[in-house]
Amino acid sequence: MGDMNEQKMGLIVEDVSMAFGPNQVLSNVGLHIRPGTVHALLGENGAGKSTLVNIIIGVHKQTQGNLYLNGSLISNNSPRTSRQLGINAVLQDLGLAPTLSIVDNLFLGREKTNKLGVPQKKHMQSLCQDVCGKLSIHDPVNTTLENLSVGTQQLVAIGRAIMGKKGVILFDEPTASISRTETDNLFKVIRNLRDEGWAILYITHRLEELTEIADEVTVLYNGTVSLTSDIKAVTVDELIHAMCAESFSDLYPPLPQFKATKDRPALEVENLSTADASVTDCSLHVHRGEIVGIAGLIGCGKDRLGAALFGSIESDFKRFTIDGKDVGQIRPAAMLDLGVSRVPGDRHAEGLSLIGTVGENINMGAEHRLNAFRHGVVDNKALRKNADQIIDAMDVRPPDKDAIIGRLSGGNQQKVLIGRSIQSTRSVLILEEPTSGVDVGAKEHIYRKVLALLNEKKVAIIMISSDLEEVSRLCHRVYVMHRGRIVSELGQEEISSDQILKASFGITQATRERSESPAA
Amino acid sequence: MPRSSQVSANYFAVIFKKLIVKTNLVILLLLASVIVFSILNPIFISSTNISNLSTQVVFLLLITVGQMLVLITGGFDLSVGAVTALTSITSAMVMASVSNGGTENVALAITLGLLAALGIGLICGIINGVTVSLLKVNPFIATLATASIFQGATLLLSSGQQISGIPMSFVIGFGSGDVFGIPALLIAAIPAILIVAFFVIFQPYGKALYAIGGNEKAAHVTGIPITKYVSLTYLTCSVLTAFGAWLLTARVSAGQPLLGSAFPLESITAAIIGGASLRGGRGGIGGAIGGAIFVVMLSNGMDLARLGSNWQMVTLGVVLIASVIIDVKKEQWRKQVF
Repeated sequence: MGDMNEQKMGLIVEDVSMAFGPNQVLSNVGLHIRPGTVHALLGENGAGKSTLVNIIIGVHKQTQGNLYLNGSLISNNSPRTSRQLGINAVLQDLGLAPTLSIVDNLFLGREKTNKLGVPQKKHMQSLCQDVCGKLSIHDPVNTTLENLSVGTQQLVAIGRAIMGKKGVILFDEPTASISRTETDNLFKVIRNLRDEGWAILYITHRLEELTEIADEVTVLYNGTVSLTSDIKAVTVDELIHAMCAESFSDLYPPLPQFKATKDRPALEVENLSTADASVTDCSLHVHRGEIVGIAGLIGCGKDRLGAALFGSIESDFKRFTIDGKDVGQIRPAAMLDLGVSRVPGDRHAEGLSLIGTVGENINMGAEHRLNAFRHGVVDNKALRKNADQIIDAMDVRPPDKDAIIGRLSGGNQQKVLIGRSIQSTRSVLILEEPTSGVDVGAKEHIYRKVLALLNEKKVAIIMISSDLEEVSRLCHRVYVMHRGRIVSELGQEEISSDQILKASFGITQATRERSESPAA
Repeated sequence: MPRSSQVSANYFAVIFKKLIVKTNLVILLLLASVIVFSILNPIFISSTNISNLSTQVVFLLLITVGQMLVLITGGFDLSVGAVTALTSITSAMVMASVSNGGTENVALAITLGLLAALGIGLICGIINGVTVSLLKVNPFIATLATASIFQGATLLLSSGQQISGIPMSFVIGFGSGDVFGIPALLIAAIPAILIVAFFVIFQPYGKALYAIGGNEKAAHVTGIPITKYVSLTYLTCSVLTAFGAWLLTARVSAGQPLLGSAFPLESITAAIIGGASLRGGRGGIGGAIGGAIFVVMLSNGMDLARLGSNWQMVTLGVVLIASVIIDVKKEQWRKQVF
């Protein structure tokens, strides 16, 4: 049968590197996912985890290196090939049809038919029942997928994966959008699969999940493997260090002091609720010279709050003032005129026109902030000069204002977006997820520029971020949100990553205890 | 060691690709058609034919410029044909009645006819603009519907009959007249196009159109007034169309209820050949002009080469598909060789 050495079983990633044009995303990555093991892949946003997954499932072809499954080289990898070999993936985009039922989705493309090609409905339904039982899916097999919770839909995707040949399953941040109970069930399912002999790669950036689910861990930092270890042989500190590595302290510039004055707040809002009820009764304030953070778990509504404060989504409020002046209705154009600017959390969906050039994106809406008009006519020369200036200030690479922005790396795109907003800001900057999907070099530059804005123009900054480190290092005060409400406000001395995390969880714990105790 | 023939073949392939990537497709098509058609029939480049061409091109030119703006915002205007018909009937009715069958108050009749035409353009444009930007109906569906509404109105007003009795001086003066050898139609159309071009190139409105087409949410977050600009765009398209329809009425010497039925398809084809993308954010006035000239040149050239209108339809369709494919290839090659 050939050399079936124990050592070679499972999926081996050998010396894989990946470059997209000038962008080196992965360098010499090595990984061994053994059968009957849950191998965690840890790393911050932009470290290269998703690219590695795409290479393993055949979406991208690595520029260098090899993949081996159970000792045999995988050549001509493609999504179809990888699936046939037994490599399955449960990604953020589940790849299921929302309007079809559970059983239809399970057998999509692989319907069981008899010799005449007629689908065997009863047979498929009973197989589906078995799979559902195994995964603790309690909904009837004919339920339409979109009527199920995200957690259950995910289980259907897993069901689809395990119906094939036993081999490898990759999970990409599966707990990002599911509840605690669903997470518990998911982990139970994963442990069962592991015990059955599946080789499991579990990708996450949440340290706290590792002790629950992982056997081994590999940390990716900036495209390279910074640590590989048995989970029992490594400490949390070592893992954190491997995730953020050398420039740990250099990454964050020193936060200037903020002294409260009697001045009116740059922005103050009382009892704001959004039209879609994602935010309820929020009140906050921020002064010039102050950076205030808004933190909370996914689904807490902090992103919606940012959009509401700028008028990108509709909201109702008791009071809203900018520099002490009352604002009746919040609209983006009016906010810009008041010197408020917003950097949306999703730069692709809301911030940039990817088919436009760098210059066009920089100058979008320039009429609100630039005097690029002579005799009522747009001064194209002034606009070009403005583009060059911002490219230079933000160190955008390549420094070409006529380059199509969609081709730049995430970090450079973000620099353009932030550079444009910095220019528009005269009173308040609403900064959402400023460094999501951004490489370390760009992160550092962005932090420096944001703090420079604070110092030079004495503006107020509202930083809405899922990056706990970022929030705790760069904010004077932090509001913590949970399920649409602000549940906690931490002052300078109380701010730290675990305090924020505790505050995001702490209230749930208290409410859970309260609801479980006998009625008073 | 690679064989020398392989090396030189590779070399030429790279040069070829670089050349294609750098060339503007419309200009290439225009040059190619001029060469091909003048070989097929030398009359193609005679001064008479060039004069002919410049009169023929005016109508599609005005409409394509308007359509291009709409396409840049990521929308469509399928009602341009119906607006043409409605304008033709309405302005003909006005001109015929004020001039009493073409005999009295001729100058007044022509002026009022023009105002009526622009008025229809304004009304249709407002209806389109409101439906798309305020009622937020998908532009394809919205203008499909308004096309039906406007065409229905046209047939109701005219009872399906053509409207004759418009002043002859209008028909001859605009339809076939010229000033110092330049067709009157062209002289009338050029200022309209220049005004639109001015706004697109030298006013924030123009840049905003690309932002709206590229990413509407990004345009919103930078304070661009989307509702205002999108409405303005549909308005401009309809008014340009109406103006073209008024001029076309002179050419066909009567108000025609079925005028312009080919305009929606032709104007979108011309705009796409001129560089517009169906998803918005791409294109330009220059491309609109080039695309319109190409479409009319194709029909004119094929007429002279004795290839009937059926062959012309086939050719137009093939060119449209080819230009989209070439555009995609250009992008691929650009990434390869640059």
